[in-house]
Amino acid sequence: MRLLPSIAAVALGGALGTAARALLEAAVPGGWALLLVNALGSLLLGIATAALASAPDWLRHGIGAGVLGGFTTFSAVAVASVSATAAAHGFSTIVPSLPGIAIAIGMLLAGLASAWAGLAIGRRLVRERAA
Amino acid sequence: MSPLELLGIAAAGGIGAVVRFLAGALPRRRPVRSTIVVNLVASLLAGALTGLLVLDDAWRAILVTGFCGGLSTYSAFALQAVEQLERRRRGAAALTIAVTVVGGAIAASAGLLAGALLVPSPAT
Repeated sequence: MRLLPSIAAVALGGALGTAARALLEAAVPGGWALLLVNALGSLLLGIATAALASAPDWLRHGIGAGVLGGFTTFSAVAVASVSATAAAHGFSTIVPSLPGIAIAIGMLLAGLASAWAGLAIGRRLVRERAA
Repeated sequence: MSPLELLGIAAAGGIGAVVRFLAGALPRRRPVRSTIVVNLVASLLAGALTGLLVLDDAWRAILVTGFCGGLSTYSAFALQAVEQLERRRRGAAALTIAVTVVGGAIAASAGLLAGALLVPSPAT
C-alpha cells in the first residue's frame, strides 16, 4: 500500500510530537505552554512545508502531519477557552467571557503570524539553497 | 508524570495523528475540511473527557493530552488559513477561521456539558 510508509512515519512522528508537548505542558506554568507549542509548531510547519516541498512523501507527512501535527493541539485550546468562560460565569451562561475570548483570539493571531513567518523563512531557505 | 504515563500519552498521540492523517488523505483530498472536522471532533471529545469526573488523572492525560491532542492540530489549521489568504481567497479563509474557532468553542462546551451530565458529581 502506497500510504504505508507515511502512516508509519505519522504514527512515530505524532508520538514524538505529543510527548514533547506533554513534557512542555508539565514544565511551563499556566496556559503559556499551549501558546508556545502552537506558535512554535505553526512556525515550524510553515518552514517545513516550504523547505520540504520536494522531499519524499513519508518524510513530509512524518514531519508535518506527524511531529508538528502531534506537537500542536486545537482541542486543548478550545477546552481552555471554554473553561475560562465557565470559571468566570459558570455553565449557566452561554455568553463567552473576556478571558475565554482572549485565549481563542490570542492563539489564533499567534498561530497565523507564526505560520505566515514560517512559510516566508522556508521559501527564503529554498531560494538560498538554489542560488 | 511517570515514564509509563508519558509513554501512554505518546502512543495515544501517535494513534490520534494517524487518524487525522487518514481523515485528510483518504477521501478525495479536502485537506481544509478534514482539518476542521478532526479539530471539532477532538474538541468535543476533549470536553467530554475533561468533564468526566470518574476518570483518573493518568487516563485523562492519556486520552485528552495524548489522543485528543494528537488528533487535533493547530499548525495545519493556521497554515491552511494562511495559504487561503495568500491565494486571495479571503472569504474561504474567514470561513475556515470562524468555523474552527467558534465551532471549537461550541464543541468543547457541548462536550463538557455532556461529560458532566453523564456522570453527576459526587457532591450533588
